[in-house]
Amino acid sequence: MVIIFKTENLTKSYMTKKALKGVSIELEKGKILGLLGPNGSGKTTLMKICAGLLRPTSGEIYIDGLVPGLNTKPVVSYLPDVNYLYRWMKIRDAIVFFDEFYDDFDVKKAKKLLEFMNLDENSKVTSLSKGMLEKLHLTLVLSRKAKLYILDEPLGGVDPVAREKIIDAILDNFNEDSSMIISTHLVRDIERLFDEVVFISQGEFILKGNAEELRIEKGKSIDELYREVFQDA
Amino acid sequence: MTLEFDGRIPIYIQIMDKIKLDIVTGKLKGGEKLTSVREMAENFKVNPNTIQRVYQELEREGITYTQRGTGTFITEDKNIINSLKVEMSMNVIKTFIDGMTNLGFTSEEIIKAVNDYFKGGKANGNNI
Amino acid sequence: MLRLLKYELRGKLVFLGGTGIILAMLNLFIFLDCNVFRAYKYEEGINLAFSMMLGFAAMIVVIVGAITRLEKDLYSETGYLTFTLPKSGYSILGAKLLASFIEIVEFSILNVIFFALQIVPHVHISKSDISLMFKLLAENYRFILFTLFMMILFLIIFILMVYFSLVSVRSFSKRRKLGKAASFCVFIGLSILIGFTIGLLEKAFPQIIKLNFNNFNTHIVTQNIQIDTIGEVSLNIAASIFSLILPFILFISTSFLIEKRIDI
Repeated sequence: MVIIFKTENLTKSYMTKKALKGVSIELEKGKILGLLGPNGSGKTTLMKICAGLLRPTSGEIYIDGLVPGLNTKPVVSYLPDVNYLYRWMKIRDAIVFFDEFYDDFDVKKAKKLLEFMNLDENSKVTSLSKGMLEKLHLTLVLSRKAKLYILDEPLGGVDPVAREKIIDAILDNFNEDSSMIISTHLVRDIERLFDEVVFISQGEFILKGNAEELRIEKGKSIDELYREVFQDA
Repeated sequence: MTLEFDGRIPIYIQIMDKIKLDIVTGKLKGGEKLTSVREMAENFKVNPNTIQRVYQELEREGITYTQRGTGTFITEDKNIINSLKVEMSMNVIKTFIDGMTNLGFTSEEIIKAVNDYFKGGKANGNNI
Repeated sequence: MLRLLKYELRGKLVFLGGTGIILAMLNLFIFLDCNVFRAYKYEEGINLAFSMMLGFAAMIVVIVGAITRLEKDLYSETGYLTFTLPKSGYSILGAKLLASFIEIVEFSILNVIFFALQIVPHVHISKSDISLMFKLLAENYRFILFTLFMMILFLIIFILMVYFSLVSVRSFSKRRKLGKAASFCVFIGLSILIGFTIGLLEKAFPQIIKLNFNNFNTHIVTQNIQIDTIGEVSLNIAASIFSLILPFILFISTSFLIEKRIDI
């Protein structure tokens, strides 16, 4: 049982607020974790710490046994919830960019995914709609052969048809050597992908467990559970 | 084929039920080889770990068996398939009885209603 | 780092290319001395003055570009891309420093060329003047190299000071306007600190070294050209050593902050 991702009492405080208040969790290799919570609950903060963009205030976090930094960036593939590509790029430029900087990038797979997503290589990144951008970002992220994929709201702002494609692409990318953390507040379409789920609210993990076991235990779907847990949010 | 899953019931159980149904109805024949975990996961559009669990449970219940190097196969044991049929029919019967009882039928009334249903079919010229 | 450099240069290629073209076109306009322009010209030297102002403006554009190169990655969304790359702080900073340096040198050379272009038609230089100039250049090559070295050193220190100011502030706040203002203050503070340190060093270690580029001073006057060169330069040793180490201190500390301390 290889643990690919682990946090222990992880805290992130800013001057004005505490984004993460001592969260602890473990994720095994080959498993998909759903990080569920409303906006502002700390999901993005946790993910950015994994990606190496934020430093923890206290507590520990390990990715494949290493602290996030130069050594983990090659094995972590991060999908942020912003448009992070350089504005002058065309889709083709983005592919080349990723290929040049990441040894584990598979150009063939990327081109296949682009086709699957109906994206034209020659389009400028600035001309893409939100849904198309999301598909492009996902293409780039999934074409890497990483140990840990971190997807921040991959379904956000995307129409139902595109959502299906995105979920298909994520599923297709699954392999037993890597793990995924997917954050979302649109639980219904995607809950069938989760091995484990954790509910986060205001920087704290309020419920975590195996998705199927939670279904048995609570007699509810994860989506219903989400609504129940966050009814006040 | 994307099954519309009831999120309240564990997915692996729902998939197991579907497979059991296919065996009983004959869609899946005894001795037939099951597709790979990966392929089935893609067909149902679920996490492969879920399918992994399905296969494990099916084997535990004796409905499938694995031959090393060759794959996983549906059992050819007619007894097991029969008891599956019975088991599944019991679920249907239970649901039916619960529904009828809920409508206020007693046991005798239920039996009479069923017989009438069959007779009514004959009276309408249907061969049942 | 070279790959990063390639992308840094490419990112500003269109913008700086456009600037260069505008600069060239305006200089050409001045050069051609057309009638419209003539109407406004009330003094002979105005060609040169305009050209110099243009060059100055272009330099400001390039330098501001060098600053925004880092500022954009620190405060806007593109930082998510740059700072998740598996590249060390040295690589990232080195690429930005080098790209900015190259761009500033490019435009400096352009400015010199355009300025020379404006002078040439108006100054009568004879063949003997030109050969004399080249002879002097060749004889004084060490001094020229020394001056170039000093200019390059100053440029690098300047860019690194700006980058250090930007990065050091970023760890504390996410707000862009506040960050810019605070970075400016840090820059001023840093300048004062460095100046102060050099002053202290010069007082504490007044030993100087005299560099002899020629064993003589030159004073040449011809009909059109007057050239003076000074044969020797005095440098305070401690201050010089400090100036040579300074870019390394700035580079290493800024790289460290980038790799290990900033929050994007």
